[in-house]
Amino acid sequence: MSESTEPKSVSATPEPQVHNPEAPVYHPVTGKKLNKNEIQKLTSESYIKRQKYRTEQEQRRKNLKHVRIEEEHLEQNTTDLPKKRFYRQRAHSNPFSDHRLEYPISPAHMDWTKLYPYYIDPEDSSKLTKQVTIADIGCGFGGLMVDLAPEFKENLILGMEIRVQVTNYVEDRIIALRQQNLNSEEANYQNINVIRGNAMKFLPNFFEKSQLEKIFFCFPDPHFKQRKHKARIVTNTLLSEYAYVLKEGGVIYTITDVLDLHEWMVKHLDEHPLFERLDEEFEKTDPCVRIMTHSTEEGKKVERNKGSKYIKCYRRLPNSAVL
Amino acid sequence: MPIKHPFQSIITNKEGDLLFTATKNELQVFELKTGERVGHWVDVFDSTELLREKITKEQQRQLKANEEKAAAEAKAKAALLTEEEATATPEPTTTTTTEEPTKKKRKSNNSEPKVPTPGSGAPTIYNYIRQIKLSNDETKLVVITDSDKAAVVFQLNYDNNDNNVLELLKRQPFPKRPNAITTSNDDTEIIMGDKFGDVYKFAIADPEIKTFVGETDPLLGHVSMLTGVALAKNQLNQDVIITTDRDEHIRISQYPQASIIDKFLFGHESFISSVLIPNFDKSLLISGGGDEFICLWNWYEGKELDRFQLGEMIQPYLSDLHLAPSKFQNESGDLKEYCVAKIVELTQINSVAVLIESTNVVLVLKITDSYKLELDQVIQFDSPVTDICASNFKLIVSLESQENLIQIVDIENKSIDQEQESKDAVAKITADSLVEVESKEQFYPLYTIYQLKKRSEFS
Repeated sequence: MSESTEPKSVSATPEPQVHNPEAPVYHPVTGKKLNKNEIQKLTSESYIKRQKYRTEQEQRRKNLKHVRIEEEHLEQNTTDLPKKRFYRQRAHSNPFSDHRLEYPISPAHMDWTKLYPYYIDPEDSSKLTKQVTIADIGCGFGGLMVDLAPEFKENLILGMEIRVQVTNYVEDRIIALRQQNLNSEEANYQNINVIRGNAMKFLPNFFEKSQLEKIFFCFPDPHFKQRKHKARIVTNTLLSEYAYVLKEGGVIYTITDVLDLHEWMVKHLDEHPLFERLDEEFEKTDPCVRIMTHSTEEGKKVERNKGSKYIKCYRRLPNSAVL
Repeated sequence: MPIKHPFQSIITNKEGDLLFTATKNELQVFELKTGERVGHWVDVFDSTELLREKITKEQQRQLKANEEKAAAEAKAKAALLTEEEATATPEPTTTTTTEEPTKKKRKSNNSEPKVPTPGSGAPTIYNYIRQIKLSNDETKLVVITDSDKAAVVFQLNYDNNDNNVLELLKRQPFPKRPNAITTSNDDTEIIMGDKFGDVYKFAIADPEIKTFVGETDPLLGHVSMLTGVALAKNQLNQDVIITTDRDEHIRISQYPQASIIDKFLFGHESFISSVLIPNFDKSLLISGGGDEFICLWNWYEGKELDRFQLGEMIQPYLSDLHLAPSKFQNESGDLKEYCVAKIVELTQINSVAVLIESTNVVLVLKITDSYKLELDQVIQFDSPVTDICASNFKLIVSLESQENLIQIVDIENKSIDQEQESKDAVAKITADSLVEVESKEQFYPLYTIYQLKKRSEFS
């Protein structure tokens, strides 16, 4: 269901064993009876190719996801960047449903060492020497993080993405980047990683109060219908949670190509007592704004289509601003 | 033969002389000493009127949309025709295009809104009363209703001559179904949490009935079903609001500046159904829900003090009703699931009473001087307990039974009150409760908290 439809190969690939059209066919994994369309989908060339690629990548990911990449891993000769077309997934996800997500019971339960093995504390291997301070909520294919990595070498950056395949892509991408740039001076991509999660529900399960310095919302799902507006990533009620994980002076970055959504985000951020709008001077000079405008996949797509980009940034005010 | 409907929800005042009960769509107030019924209210709200309004509105919207569409189509057709004239294409394409709009037009002309009117065999629409709550000063009663998703506020007026203490003050509807309700610390405002995760407040004294907008009006919100809301004062004597949800969160925010989240109490692994800040030590918070344990917190410091494991001790009191659904059952088929339905305080003995859903027992847990939860007593009844409440001296349980709708437990002895006066009162309340149904199937759904368990699969 969540698979996006690949361009259908019209030549309905003749399979070696031709099915008797009357005999029921069952899904190899779930055992569910399949209808005609599903059979066609499951036997299409592109589907088989995609599945094969995904299985291979998954194996590789399992081996390398949580290890500190050393020279020896490079011999596997698999340092190619993953191919995005094999990871396509429908662009929307219902943030209210309780997909069985993995999330820590509390920030103290979160094992960060698996995500940033380069920063494991030599004195206590269950801890890192630093904390995550930059979060990219709905990181998509991870373009922003990849470009932030060299700019913020001293910070740990975490992307959160709700779609499984897209998260897998980013994981594979980071593994490949780490391998390719093992000894690079400029960026070794050890300071970025991604987790699959629902930030709208569980952000405080990952981050302590006032832990973050920057939160990015880049090209979020616009949820056009009015009754879906609560599903938007910026609402006045959710902003309180973002304010909780942001430290005083921390910044929320928003960018979108949908004017309606932009106006919505600006309205809610303007109204929220714990955020203060940053001026155009900030937008012009802040390196993150530059990177955010040009680096994300969505941003590039908008550029190709000659669309507009709307940007606004807000600073977290101290609590005393309210009381 | 008609049978008595059990009370789905009960509360009492601190003195323990009044019992407020909800039965289906009816509120009944009893004097606990005598069993006399002193208050009565039936929710007769007709939700079809609301439905009609909604349907009419939607109809008008659709009509308008259709008209616009038809106009646009006509325009496009005209453009197409002129183009066709120029290129002189063969006839058939034009005939098909002309047919479609006329068909649509006929549909859109039917402008009478169709409002479904229930036939003779249709199931009755119930206006259940979901929850009842007494204000801190015990002069007002607040209930939440299903019918129009409203909070209904009553003034308790004891000098009333018509033998009814309930005096309707205000009925405030909300955009989404209310799920939790409480009053502010000073009793001037009502605070309501809904199933969509938002919390709203309104002033009791305000004569205006507000129309809440889900986007701007919430005081705070979770992206999860709200299961509880409570007001309290923190160690600095500031008002705070405590909200709990289905996603294991206990959130503490400032009140009314709820945009400032103070902290979360992390530790639960399943939904939260009940939290309690006992009057005997207001730094403590006891919470329970879908987990197999009950947590004791120092919420001022955000520290978990103790966990009481229900595991082994509760097993003997579970029945086949607790067997997990087949899809989630284990191989031997004996996996039982249970959850905490309610926690109330027994102030006098520094204890709490805990009700596990669909059981015949109430657990009494003592909070020791070293802040541990210790099992003190298991009080057993002969029928399933639907709800519990406590005054300063007595614990009152509501039972799914035909003999006694309630039982009164003496807190000191931790056993059913044997005094004749109390027995007579129980008998009289049972006799005087006038809500009757034909069969058990018509009962209000009494045990539904376990449904909050997350059943989704990994994806």
